[in-house]
Amino acid sequence: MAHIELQEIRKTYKVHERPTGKWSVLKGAFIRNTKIVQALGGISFSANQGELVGLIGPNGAGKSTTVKIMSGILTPDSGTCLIHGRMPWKERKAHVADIGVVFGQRTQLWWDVPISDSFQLLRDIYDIPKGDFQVRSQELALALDIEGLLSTPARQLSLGQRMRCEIAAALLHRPKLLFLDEPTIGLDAVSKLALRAFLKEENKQTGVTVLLTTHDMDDVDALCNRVMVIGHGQLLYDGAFDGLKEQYATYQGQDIDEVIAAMYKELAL
Amino acid sequence: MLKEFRVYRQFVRINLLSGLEYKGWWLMIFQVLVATVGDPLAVILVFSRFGNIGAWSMERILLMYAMAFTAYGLGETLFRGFSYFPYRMIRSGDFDRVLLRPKSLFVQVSASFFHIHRAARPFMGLCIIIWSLVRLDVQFTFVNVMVLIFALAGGFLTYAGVFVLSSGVAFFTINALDWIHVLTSASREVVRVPTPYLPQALRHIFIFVMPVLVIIYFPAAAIGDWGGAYWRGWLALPAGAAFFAAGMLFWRIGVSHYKSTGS
Repeated sequence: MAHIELQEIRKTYKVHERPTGKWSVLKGAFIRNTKIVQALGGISFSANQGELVGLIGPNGAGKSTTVKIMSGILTPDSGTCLIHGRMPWKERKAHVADIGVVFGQRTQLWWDVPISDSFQLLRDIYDIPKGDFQVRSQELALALDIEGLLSTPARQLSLGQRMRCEIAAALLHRPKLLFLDEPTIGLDAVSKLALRAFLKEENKQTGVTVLLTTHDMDDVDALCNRVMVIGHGQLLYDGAFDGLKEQYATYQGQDIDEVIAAMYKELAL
Repeated sequence: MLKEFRVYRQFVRINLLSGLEYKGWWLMIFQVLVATVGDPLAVILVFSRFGNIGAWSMERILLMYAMAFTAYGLGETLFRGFSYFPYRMIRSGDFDRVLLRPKSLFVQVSASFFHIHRAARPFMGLCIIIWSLVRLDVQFTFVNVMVLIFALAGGFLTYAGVFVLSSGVAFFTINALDWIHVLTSASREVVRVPTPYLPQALRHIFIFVMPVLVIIYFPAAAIGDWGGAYWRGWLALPAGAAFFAAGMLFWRIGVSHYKSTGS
């Protein structure tokens, strides 16, 4: 049974623009031109438990909107989205108890207190039983190699160290589905490789579904057995990463970023 | 419900710990204490220079002022997160994270900031209230004490409602929240003036729109026997609850607006 099911999801944003021309600043203070921008123009797909899906597309293509809708932060204009049989924006609490979300550019850890204090608070937020919390936090600390960091405040960690703690924080409550929004942004090679290895292993061990958005094609290549390309609010490709390479590579051994750039160009993104 | 309360407590704990991470946290407490002592000083100076205004003594004004002070302080201490919300949470996008956690949005936001030194204000206020009551020869009968407690509870709800209301409105206009000072600072200033001397228009605004006179003047007049019907003193709690409910309504509307438009 598919556990993620999106059908014809549409979403538009209102964008306010300042009028142009003389006195535009003054005019803009009173009159606002509203423009409706389409973010998602009817996206449909489904995914099964345990899949590792990569979501790629240029900036502003609708990736984040898709993730926000699936995680229950945004309500779409129309369409249905069922995750574990629930509408994310209708049953917020039940839905978010089953998912984990990591934003690469933001933190969910409390900045000034040791990581272990943040974990304790998450235990209360997710109502994790005490025994399970012990087992789980130890297991994650070991796998992500953060045992030595637990007593350090988040603000004193390097980006790579913090990202490992973020991932552990998102997995403490054993979510069935994990969203990663640009998890490797700004990480060094060692951290990137370690993170990929961990995610792969975690997926194999617990069967957690992973859906990640990224601009790093090596992430997709190394992790995902399925890739979706989103552009102009549409789903443009859905399938294996190798298929994508075959379709758009002009010669053997072409650099992967060049292939993707060629594809974006061909699809007029 | 119990679990939500536990989460509130844990948030408060982590905020306290965060505060202690920085050197000089005790200075903050000292600082607020100095500020709170300085606040009623103007009233004391004016009265000691010019004497009473009709039946209105310094103690009366101080009592009203301290009641408003305490109510505001309680709201500010326990709902600090809401008073910061418009400036900190929406702009930074941290509200997304709140939506991603399986606990009540209200509890999470209200406990998202907690500063222990804010409690200096209600503490100071309570001291002044008791001092003024003694000086005014108010009988500490059961009924009078109950009226006072209900008044403070109503006042707390009113100011909590102000913060919640402003957070709800902030979903629509992230800036332009200065009007909120009419409900906070101005309402505290209003009770520094003998109520009968207020222009009628102002009196009506602070009875029917922002009920600061209902939660402060009516109970104070009732227990101090300053004229007017005693039963008006009991209106404080219902008025505070109603104002809080209105704030909650705006908050709900704001949240659903946020979810449908994004930030």
